[in-house]
Amino acid sequence: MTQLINAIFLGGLYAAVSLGLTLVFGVMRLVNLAHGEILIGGGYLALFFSGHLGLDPLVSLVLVVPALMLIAYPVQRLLLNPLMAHGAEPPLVATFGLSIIAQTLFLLAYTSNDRSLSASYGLTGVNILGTDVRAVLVIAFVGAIVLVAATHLALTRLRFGMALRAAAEDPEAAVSLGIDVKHVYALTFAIGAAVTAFGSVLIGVAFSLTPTAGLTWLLRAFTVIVLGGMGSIVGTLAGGMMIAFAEQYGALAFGPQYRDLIVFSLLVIVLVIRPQGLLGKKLA
Amino acid sequence: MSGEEAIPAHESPGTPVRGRRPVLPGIASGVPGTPAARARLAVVVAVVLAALFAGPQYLSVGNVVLAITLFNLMAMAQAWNLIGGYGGQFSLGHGLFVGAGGYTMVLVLLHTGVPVAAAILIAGAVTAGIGALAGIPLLRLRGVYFSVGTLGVMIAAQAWVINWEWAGRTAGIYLPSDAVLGFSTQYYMGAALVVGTTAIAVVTVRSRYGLRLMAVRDDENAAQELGVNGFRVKLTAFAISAFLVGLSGALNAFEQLNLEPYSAFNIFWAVNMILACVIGGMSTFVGPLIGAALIFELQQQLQGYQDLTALIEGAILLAVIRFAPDGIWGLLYALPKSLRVLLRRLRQQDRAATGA
Amino acid sequence: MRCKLRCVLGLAVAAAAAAITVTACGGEASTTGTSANETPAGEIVIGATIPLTGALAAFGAQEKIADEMLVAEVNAAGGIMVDGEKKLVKLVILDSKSDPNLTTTQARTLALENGAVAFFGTIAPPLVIPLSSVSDQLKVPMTHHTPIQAWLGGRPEGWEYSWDVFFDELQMTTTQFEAADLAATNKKVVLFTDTEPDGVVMGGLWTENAPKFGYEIVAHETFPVGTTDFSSYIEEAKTAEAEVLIAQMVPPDAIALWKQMKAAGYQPKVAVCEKCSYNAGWAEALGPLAEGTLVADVWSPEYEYADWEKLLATKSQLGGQRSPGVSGVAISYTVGKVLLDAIAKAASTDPDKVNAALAATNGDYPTGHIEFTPEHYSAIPAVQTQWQGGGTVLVWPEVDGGGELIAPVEGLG
Repeated sequence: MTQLINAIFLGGLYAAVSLGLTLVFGVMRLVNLAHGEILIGGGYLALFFSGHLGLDPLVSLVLVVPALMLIAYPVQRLLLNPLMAHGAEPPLVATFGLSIIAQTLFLLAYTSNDRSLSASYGLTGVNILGTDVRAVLVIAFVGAIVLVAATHLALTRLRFGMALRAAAEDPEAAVSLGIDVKHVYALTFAIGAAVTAFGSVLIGVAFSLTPTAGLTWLLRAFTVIVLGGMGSIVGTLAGGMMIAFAEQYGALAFGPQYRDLIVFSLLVIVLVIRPQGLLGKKLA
Repeated sequence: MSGEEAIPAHESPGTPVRGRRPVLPGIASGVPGTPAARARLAVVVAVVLAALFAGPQYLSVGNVVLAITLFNLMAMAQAWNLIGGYGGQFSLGHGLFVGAGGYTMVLVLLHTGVPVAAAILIAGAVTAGIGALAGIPLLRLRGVYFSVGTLGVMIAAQAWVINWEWAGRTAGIYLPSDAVLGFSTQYYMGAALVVGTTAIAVVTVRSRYGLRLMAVRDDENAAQELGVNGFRVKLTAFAISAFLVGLSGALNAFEQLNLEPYSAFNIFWAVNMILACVIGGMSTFVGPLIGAALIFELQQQLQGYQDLTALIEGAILLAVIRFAPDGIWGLLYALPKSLRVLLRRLRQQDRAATGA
Repeated sequence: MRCKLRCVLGLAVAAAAAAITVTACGGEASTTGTSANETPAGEIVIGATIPLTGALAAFGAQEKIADEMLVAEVNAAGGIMVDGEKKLVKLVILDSKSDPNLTTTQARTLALENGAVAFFGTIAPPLVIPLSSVSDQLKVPMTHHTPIQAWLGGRPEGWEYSWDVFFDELQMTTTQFEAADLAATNKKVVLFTDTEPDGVVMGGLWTENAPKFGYEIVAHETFPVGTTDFSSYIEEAKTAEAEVLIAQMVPPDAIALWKQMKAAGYQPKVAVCEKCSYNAGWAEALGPLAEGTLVADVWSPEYEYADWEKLLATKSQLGGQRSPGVSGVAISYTVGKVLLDAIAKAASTDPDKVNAALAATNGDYPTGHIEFTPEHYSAIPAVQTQWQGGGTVLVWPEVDGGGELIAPVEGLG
């Protein structure tokens, strides 16, 4: 029973952390290898703002989100957009280069010592059906559901959302319809970063921030979206749950020290058997 | 450079990657035509090799140690290029082979009485086997799926070894003292590995197999229709690459004296290989060597500011991929031609100016 | 397209690049550049590759303070008489970032390029074992302070040029139970150990020693370094009703564990955190959560060994309170002094002479009397201190001037 409860809430965190990645992939077919660094970078930004201004980490999102968007938009518009015309490899290499640069910047700014965001909800537990769940995970779960629902609705109801989906389906047709695809892509990347910021704060409070922590989060997020369906927003929630379940029950079966091994083996297996994921690949 | 319409090439598993590929024959274009040119090439090669192998005679001990690390980097870059540049499959998890090679060799030395040379070869062979096994599921994937897949396999291997008692778990394993080699020996081995890896790369790519590999890289579906089994072709390249990187991993174990899973199975191996190949020039033989020398030099110069090195390397990588995707060697390669074109234009302007 | 000139050009460029790299950069960076153990320009170079950042940064900070203090003192007294001349000591410190591979490379750089004739060692086995390997390979004597059994396990045939002064786990792993006896508990113990060499050794010894003191190990959680989620382990500890918790982990992992225990409402009567709380940063990182943690220590000002006042004064650089951080300074200072004393006794920097002098060490130092066994170690009896009010007090053995054990663990209440 404990495993089930833990899995559900942890799954919420994993979903929140992966939503940005799936959005970017769904619209632009770009897997951002620097996604882990956006997560950690957002965390360091939150550390900076909450430290200097005495803000609660979640409150500091008010500043972190615009900051990340301001960085993400030009990166996509000026660097990645031109490269995407040359095939799938150049943008991959570019995001790879970006992740290296980002890691070094983190190292220079904060050294390799562990940092974490201090918040009361990182230290208190909520008793749910007999299990003490960390408050931050409950926040993660609720937040993930809200974000997923909001994103889904935005994509299906808002005009901008429909422009996104049009650009995703057929960019050339979208251009002829008068949609500024370049701007749409850049904005999507920025929104992806914004959504990821919520995950950053969660990681900073629940776990810790180090310059090289981005890699394992990238792999986890990638596993989530592969399982849930590349590009499926709602699938991200399902994917997050699935990973969390696999971790908790796998740990129970094989021993907790194999948790990472289980997740990454799962990734490889799913990639090989059904790369488009278990829930299909249509955006939204 | 076009790209202002920014219509991206769609990538999902199964669709062929159509994009601009660096079309650089490099030295694979062919042996020089005339006997005189061939003789010149042979002389240059001979001089270079002689200077290389005479290294320990005129280099200080500190420089010999540096050279060992440089050779290892060059060999690894060259080996990665086989599957990454010529094969078109961007592997992020090549650290798997470094770790596998190192661990296999040390474990063989620790538990059997096999001599060092044999242990190194066994390490290479086992790693090639691992490469083949891993390649079977992985090479059915393309693009980023392949890349992340290799990364996943490497991290899974790391997680496995961390918990594997026989391999020392996180404490790792150490090289037995009778197998600790002198610096000169390591130098020769490293130099031989660089030369050998480059030679294997040249022979492999210049053969008919190499043509098939590059055809698969450029358009796998078209190649398939011409009867080329893309999967098998790529698997061979992957296994050869794994073998060579396994040898490098074994040599690395002599440098490190102790192996532990976090550094043996680490993404930074692939990071260095990719930096070297992309900056130097993928799909060429000289590119990985130049790239490796460049990033090694950078790391040495910035000894006191180790952190900055990665920043600069990342920036160079971005600059290269954006403005000079053929790498530095590509720029140098095109230099004579661009100079000639420039000269011709200047001469034409001259003639026009003097009214001739 | 035929390559002719281009191919030749290409090979030449590649060869030139390699040649320039190897000769030019190697030449600039070195002071002597030729062989190890030369004394350049009248200085005795001591190398130290310390974890100033990374998972073990808390320990690196202590070592740096101690090493610099020691060298400053020695130089203020005119240096060391070597080969008939008084030479000053030059200390070169490199940040190993808590990375064993980097430790190996840096140790070689220090010896081959900076001309280091000896090393000041560090504390954790994952770093000390590679360092000792290089020390033996290049014949550079070194002293360090790391758990003895874990270090000995790194080379069964024995070390040649490195010397260890620290506690012996065989004795240290009894002190937790001695201290726990000072409180009333149900004698049920949960162990949290990582899979580093010291974690493995200590975990095994605690399991062996528990029944001798009447304790029962009801759960033993093992995990790799870098684990962030301890929820299932904490659940197990709660279900098993363990009132004594003994942990051996790196500081970042332990900080995560402590926070998660607080959130889960798990409060043991006695909680020990080996290695993790053995630094000045424990209280800094956890604030009130740190109260009540026990830790084994190797230096107690209560015994008033040599230089104890001077060493206690360094607490001003480490948060203002007496803490394991100050002990860390004391032990680093001690092993550094042992090394420099050996160089002075040998009156030479020749590695074998210095090594022989180290073997013959027999004197009183800040951590007590030091004499090395044939296996190259000198064991210090470990004591138990407890974090109270932001600093540590000695709770076992019970001596005059020491403190009293407080149970249950306040920080987790």
